[in-house]
Amino acid sequence: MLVGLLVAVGLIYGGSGSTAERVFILFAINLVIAVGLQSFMGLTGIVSFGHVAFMAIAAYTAGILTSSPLIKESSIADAPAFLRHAELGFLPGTVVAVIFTCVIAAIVGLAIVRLSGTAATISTYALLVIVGVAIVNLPTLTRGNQTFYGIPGSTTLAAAIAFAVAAVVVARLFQDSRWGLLLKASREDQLSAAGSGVDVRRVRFGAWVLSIAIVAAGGSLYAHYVGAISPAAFSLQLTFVIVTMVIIGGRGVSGAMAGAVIVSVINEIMRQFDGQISFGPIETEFASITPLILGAIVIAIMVRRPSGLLGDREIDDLIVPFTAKIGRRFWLAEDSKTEG
Amino acid sequence: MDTTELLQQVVNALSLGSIYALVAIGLGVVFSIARMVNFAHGELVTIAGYTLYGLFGRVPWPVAIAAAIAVSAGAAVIMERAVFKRVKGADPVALLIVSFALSLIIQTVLLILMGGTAKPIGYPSWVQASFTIGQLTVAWRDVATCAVTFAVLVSLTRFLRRSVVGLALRASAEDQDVARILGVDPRRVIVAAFAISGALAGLAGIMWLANSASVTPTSGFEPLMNGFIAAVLGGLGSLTGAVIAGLGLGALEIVLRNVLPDSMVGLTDGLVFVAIILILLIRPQGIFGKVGREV
Amino acid sequence: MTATVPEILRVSDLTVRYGRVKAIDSVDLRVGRGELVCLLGANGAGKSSLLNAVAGLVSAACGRIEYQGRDITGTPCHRRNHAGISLAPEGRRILSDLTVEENLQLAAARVPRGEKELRMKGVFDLFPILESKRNLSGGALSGGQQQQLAIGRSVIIEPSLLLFDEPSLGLDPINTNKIFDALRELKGRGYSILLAEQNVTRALELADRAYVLETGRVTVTDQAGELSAQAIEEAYLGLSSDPEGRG
Repeated sequence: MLVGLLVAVGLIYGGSGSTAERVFILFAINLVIAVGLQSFMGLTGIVSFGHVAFMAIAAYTAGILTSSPLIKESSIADAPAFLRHAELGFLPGTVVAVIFTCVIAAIVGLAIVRLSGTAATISTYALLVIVGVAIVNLPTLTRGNQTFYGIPGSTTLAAAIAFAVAAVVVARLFQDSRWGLLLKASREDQLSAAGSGVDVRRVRFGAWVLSIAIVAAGGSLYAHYVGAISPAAFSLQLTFVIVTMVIIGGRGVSGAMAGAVIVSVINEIMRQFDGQISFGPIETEFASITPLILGAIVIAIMVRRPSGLLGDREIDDLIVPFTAKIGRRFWLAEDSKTEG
Repeated sequence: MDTTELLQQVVNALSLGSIYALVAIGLGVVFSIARMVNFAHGELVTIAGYTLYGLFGRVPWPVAIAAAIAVSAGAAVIMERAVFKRVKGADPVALLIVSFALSLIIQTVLLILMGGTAKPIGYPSWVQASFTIGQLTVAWRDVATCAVTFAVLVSLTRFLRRSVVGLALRASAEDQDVARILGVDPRRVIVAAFAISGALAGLAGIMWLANSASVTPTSGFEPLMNGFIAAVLGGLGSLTGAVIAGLGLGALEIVLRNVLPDSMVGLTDGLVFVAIILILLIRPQGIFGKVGREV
Repeated sequence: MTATVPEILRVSDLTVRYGRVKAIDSVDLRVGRGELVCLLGANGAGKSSLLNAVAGLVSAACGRIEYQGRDITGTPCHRRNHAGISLAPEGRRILSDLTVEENLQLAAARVPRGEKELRMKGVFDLFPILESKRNLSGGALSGGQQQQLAIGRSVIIEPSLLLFDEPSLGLDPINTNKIFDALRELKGRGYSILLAEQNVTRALELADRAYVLETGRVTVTDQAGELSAQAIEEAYLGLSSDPEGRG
């Protein structure tokens, strides 16, 4: 089960030369965020535009905690002393950031889980805006609109892979657990779910916090890769890209992976065509067409296969029948020989 | 601040609020009939803007304005027929995502076709001119905005109350099945709803862009966001709610702009979105909305 | 003796599904011109589903619906209204945002302009109290008045086939009387009516023929008014008091 998924992750990362390292690390970060988002969206059926906000919270928290006091003396000179002097390691910083983010998520989550459908989605978008405003309006901590720089580049390929694998494992474990199954069942049938009432809401709350924990880890990972962050990085654009990954791929963890792969591939292809393309008198950068392509794919998916390419299936659901078919061929051949 | 400044700001608030109200009503009409939140509504504003950019100076300005409104209305109908109609099951969340994706697509297309730099819109000169009453300076465009919005509201209300199409729209908004058994064609009603929302968006766009006299591919985002906020707070199914919330939002924005120090950027947005979450929790049908017409 | 009355409605082998549940199962039914045909059955037997299917609100999984000799199985709901089929749905469902007059105006939208006033007056003659309330919103009416409005709404287009879904449901005896008086009046004027009712006695007083539905299937058919009202009632009530509670 899980093995199937891990093998898939491992194989992908098997060969990574240093030139491709950048691509893979970014892909890994995106994967973590996507898996995190999927842990909530896939189970509850609620589209969340707000997870990137928590990515931002974690990124800033971890970044503030791990960057060197020397830099902070000049960059955030007015911040409280304990923050200025703090210099945690990458992992401790990440852990603190995740915990802090989860606390905020828990408080907010109490409200979010009472909503459903469009109302919930709108509220998550509201969160994105609110967090963005908060970051900009706390310049003593975050340098407001300006870039917060000097975050140590602790994110190596190994770290990225480790985080990605961990995210996938955690997500998968949760979704296959009793609680995950309960959520999946209630996703389709709201009426009978309402019968279970408070239970469902509590599990939904758990999914919310868990999904944000994963996303928070991804946020820290991101911060320690790029080394400098600003509110603009955690925008609606990024949100749409991540949401697209989850929607395209499907409702399972494998779906999020597939979606992440597809979107990253498209992104990279678009970047490679470095120059202009022209339709007659119209010229433009290839890369800027990406939203168009992603948007078109999303619409196509929503119209044709609303549950995404993989639907509810995980990779093992696909591989097992496949290997079984091969296995049967083998045995049947043996049998016919002995019989004949 | 003294009375003159105060009056000045009142005019500003009315003008801004009127635009937000128009956008909110447009969103509300589509929501009531098609049961979806159309995130591509903002692009209708942008499209109207580019139409003006193309036509102002080449044709008499009333023609340009009429054309812009017609184009937005047409674009809205195309959105419905080409995209929204095809989403099976009409799941509101799916439609929301589709409309969001559509808005990005339109923005990118406009970016490709028109480029990212702001295109100047040649409004007729009287729009940017102003007149003085005593010590008060009033821009004609603000007067026009308020007057036009008021006229639109009056005629819209009459239309909804008196005409058959209006009755059909109100009926469909309340109970689609009953409308059908009374002989109302649901397809036509949806097209009418989108056409009206498009026209309102176009009108709002014409007035909104008069402030900057230019248009970019993302021009529609801000009016959409504010109109959307007004719609949710006031009640997506309620005409009165949209108007009051729109005006209220305009007033709030002007007040905060003057009261808050410059260093507090975008706090209006933050506060307003907190309000949205609260409303969705406590009174999801909006302040003036009816139960049953929640998001 | 089967009366050779030209048929307004013929339903053949009709099946209606909600998901996997068959609300209507292979039902055959006909309504002759000028007849008042009764649909009897307990709650959940499928009466509403049958009427809704004839009106076009729900689509048939299989089977055929023929109206005035034409196959309308695939015709959309609003077109059926234009062709002269009029439904007064269960629970009245008048438009509460609209006034009484607006409700009627909307229903009469396709009536030729010169005749609209006349038709509206016709409805007010049938239900005088509506005239005094013509400018009130639908939601302000009492249950009985709303039912009158619902019937008035369906009659104003002078339809060829009237479908009534439990018009006396939830009404006190006085209002029930008013409703059945109106139904009698309509029958007297020659309208073809398919009436679903739980009030068996009153319904059978008016009916030319009757069908009994039980969990989607027709269990008793009164083909030619031969069976007496008594017999039908017994069959129906017999089902209702079934010890297994299937009624």
